[in-house]
Amino acid sequence: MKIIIDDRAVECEEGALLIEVMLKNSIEIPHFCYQEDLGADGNCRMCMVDIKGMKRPQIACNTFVSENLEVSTISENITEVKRSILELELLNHPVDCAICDQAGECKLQDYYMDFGLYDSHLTTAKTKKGKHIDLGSNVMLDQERCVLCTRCTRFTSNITKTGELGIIGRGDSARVGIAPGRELNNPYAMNVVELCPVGALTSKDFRFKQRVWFLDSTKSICHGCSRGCNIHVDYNETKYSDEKIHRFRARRNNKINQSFLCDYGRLSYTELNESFNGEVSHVKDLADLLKEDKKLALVSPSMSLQQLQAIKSFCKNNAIELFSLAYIDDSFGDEWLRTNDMSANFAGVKELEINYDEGKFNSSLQDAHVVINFDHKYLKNMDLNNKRVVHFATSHVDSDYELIFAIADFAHDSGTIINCDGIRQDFYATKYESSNPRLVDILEELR
Amino acid sequence: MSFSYTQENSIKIASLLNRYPQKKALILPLLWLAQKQDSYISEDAMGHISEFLNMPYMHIYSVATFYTMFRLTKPQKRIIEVCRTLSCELNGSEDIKKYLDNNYSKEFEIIEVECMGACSGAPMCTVDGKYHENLTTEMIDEVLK
Repeated sequence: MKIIIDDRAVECEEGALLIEVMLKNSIEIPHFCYQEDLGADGNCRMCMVDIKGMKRPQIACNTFVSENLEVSTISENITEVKRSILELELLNHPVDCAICDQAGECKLQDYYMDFGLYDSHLTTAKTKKGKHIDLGSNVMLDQERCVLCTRCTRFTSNITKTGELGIIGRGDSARVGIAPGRELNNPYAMNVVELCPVGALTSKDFRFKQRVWFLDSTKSICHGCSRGCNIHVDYNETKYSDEKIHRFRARRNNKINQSFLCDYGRLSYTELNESFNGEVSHVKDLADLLKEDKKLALVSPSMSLQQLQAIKSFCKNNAIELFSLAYIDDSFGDEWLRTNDMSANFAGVKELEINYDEGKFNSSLQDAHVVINFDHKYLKNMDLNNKRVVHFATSHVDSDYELIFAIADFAHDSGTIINCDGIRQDFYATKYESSNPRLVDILEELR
Repeated sequence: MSFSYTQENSIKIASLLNRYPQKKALILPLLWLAQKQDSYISEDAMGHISEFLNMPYMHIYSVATFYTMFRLTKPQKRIIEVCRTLSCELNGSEDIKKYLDNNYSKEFEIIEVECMGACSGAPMCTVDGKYHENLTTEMIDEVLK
């Protein structure tokens, strides 16, 4: 079926939502309340379009397409409509972009530059509302910046079903908030920060740390559990400091995480900033150690398929018994995104047929002389006094092992992992070189 | 302090339950009954309603704050509500309000409200929720003294 948008023919399915068709075809359509995974609410009126044969402008998020629909998004009339709507949205807005953390990724700011540019008609004082309200769970609220799109309240009532957020009052004084004496408290709470199209909800963890236009972004996969939620890693390197990862953002994948992330995963970026600052051993010493008998290796189930494959053939060549144990936490999982298996690639371990029998591992560990730990948390704090231990670590280790090698973490070493549902996904390294070598390169050197 | 409806109100609620296809339609009547019972809607009352309807507390709070006729804080004085909508306004509600403000604002809290559906008796007001119609200043003195 065909419809016409701004004199351009667009292919779409009968009965599809007009705004979805436009977004899919990269046709610019301003919107606040519509969000792919929350659906349309029809309250912001920003997505107004002219439709041939209709008397008044219509909202694209409540228009279903039919054969030969003719839509205009750029006529003078519709621009004027959008300007008027924006004027209303901005009526009580403090216009404090210079100190607002959302600046640079704010829809209100973008649309103002496109359609705004009017002089204020307001002759009375603006309505004052609450500012810097700590909602809990790292979320800060500024009610004056809010455009009442209700994405956040729809998230807490329809998605997490915890219902902490709601609209208080009405008319000019309507504002988003939580009930007095209560707080925003659920394991997915920080999604509201990302959902908020303006600067009303900001993250306590991220705000005032970095301007968003200084950030680079790379496509990655969260390594917090076996769900494999798709993320953007936002990072930069400033003039006088090393590269720093500032946040994880959800990357939409409707097969896995839609546009959401759990707070644990979202905050797990901090691990990537814990740089290794001890002394690293020489690869030559490891080569000497490999001449010993009774060697055992334990590999982290969060390593990529490429790393696992390299380790597997390294162990085979050097007669090392290889194991991998899953990170299981029965209290972590829930019915939605979080899984009890907190290893990112345990499905990959199974696919490569690496031994994950814990009983067998423990008995082998008793006999082993040499233990090689490929960044597995299980051995990190274990007493291994009478053994010769080699440790490959992505972050700093305090224990005094015989040999320690620092290796690049998943933000600096691209690869592939398989999630709990068997979906194979690639993740990519940031554009800056890691100070630590990649594991596969070290193993290559040992061949 | 926990909230529960009086036996009389509980019977009313039970009969209201059959009237609506969905339980959530009861929010407004439940809030009204709570306000009637305590003269305001306490946090505990909203908590009770939220449990009764199996809805998040915030939803009840949202609805209660939307309507200006719900009081969420305990009134310090007895309440007089003066209608200020068209019929009453045309029949002199402004003077009534002024007279009340000047003579009774110490003992009573005087609030302007929108139409309460007694236009045939304009101007009107309520004292403790009871309607008084066809008001004159003399009548006010008579009622309040």
